Amino acid sequence: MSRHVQDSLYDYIAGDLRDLERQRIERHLDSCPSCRDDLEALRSALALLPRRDVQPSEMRDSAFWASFADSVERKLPSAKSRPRSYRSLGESIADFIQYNTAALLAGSGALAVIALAAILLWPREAAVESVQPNPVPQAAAIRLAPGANRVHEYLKRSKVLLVGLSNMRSNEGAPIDLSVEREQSRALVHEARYLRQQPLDMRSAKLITDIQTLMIELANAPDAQETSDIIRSGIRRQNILFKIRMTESLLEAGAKERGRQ
Amino acid sequence: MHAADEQHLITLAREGSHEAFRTLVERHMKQAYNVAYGFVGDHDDAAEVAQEAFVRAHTSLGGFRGEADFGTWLHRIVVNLAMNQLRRRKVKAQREVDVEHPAASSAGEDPPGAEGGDMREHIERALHELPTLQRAVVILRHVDGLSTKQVSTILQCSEGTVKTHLYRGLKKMKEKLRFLREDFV
Repeated sequence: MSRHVQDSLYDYIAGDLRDLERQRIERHLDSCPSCRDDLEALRSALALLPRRDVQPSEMRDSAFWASFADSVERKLPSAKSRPRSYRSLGESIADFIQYNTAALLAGSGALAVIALAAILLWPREAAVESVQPNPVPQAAAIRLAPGANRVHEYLKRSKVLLVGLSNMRSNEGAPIDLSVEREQSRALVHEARYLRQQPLDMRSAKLITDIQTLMIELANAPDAQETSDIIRSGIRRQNILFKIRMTESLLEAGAKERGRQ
Repeated sequence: MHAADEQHLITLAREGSHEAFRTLVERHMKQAYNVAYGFVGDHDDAAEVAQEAFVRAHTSLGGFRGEADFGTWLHRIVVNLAMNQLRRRKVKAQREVDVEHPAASSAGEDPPGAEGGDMREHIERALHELPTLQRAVVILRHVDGLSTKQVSTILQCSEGTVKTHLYRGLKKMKEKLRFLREDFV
């Protein structure tokens, strides 16, 4: 008897049972302390399992999904033997990028050096650059998408929150109230969802996805200890603050470039 | 998405149409990715597993008899690859422990709670220390949110077996986490 009820306990909790079966389980639970303990144990275990507020696939940007099928196709055995003349322009470009990354990087580097040299040799521009705290060369500036200001604002808010959390200190082990920070993290998750639906440059899109993942973790962190671990991981392992500063600099450089045009 | 439409795509892909196979990839890639992520817990590994699953599916398309739908068949491949990935990871971690702390590895696993700290780590560890089938049913049913029937099709066992593994797996998880504070458990 007891074994049958145990086998149905998961369905009972999940609400997957028909009325008659549910009533039978409830009658049994009323009279069987052992099964009641099992039910509690299952409920506790389920409550501990990681919850998915956001599907992992939603954390990847549209550029990732656009290239996913290409990557699969390139790995298919017959794709390699297809004649090049039959391959689409997109495939050819993707192949070129895949196999000539070093040449492209060298080329981009040379262009960046030429652009930087041109800027430095132009007297008036050189004066502007000399007071510019941003070390990013103009050639690397992000071409601004329409929502760039909002992205910039988002990065600034994220940075303030992350820096604040990384500086938090507990007084003699007293619990720290992080409800405000959790609320801010939630707001930043919602904002990231909105931003990721807008046309963004690749760098900002990837960074916003990384920040969103971090903010989801922070919003769900049960205590200050876990918050601190998440911050440590985000700042040290993913280098997120450095990436934010870098992207901010590139956005600012892009805005200046547009201002000049 | 109609089954007939999907079947037509599968037939075309079997005949060598890359466009048809690409359409199948685009339809199923996100779910395959989510299932893979449920097991490996890492975005790069999930992408690798999901892409490899499609490559294997392409190779084995001739053997797909349509008893289950394409998505469920694909999930089975994803689950097998993800489990292999986890096994490789475990072996690698064990080797690293052997090299760095030979005494620790010979003494067996750390007692739960010995290292203190992070609750999430404890939960994930408890989940990943479950026997293979119990871990698979808990992840597919609860974390990925598939139905018991879908899980039974993916793992090629009866729904009763899925429920038994769910019950045992969850109970074992609870036992492993007994040391956590009562207000969490």
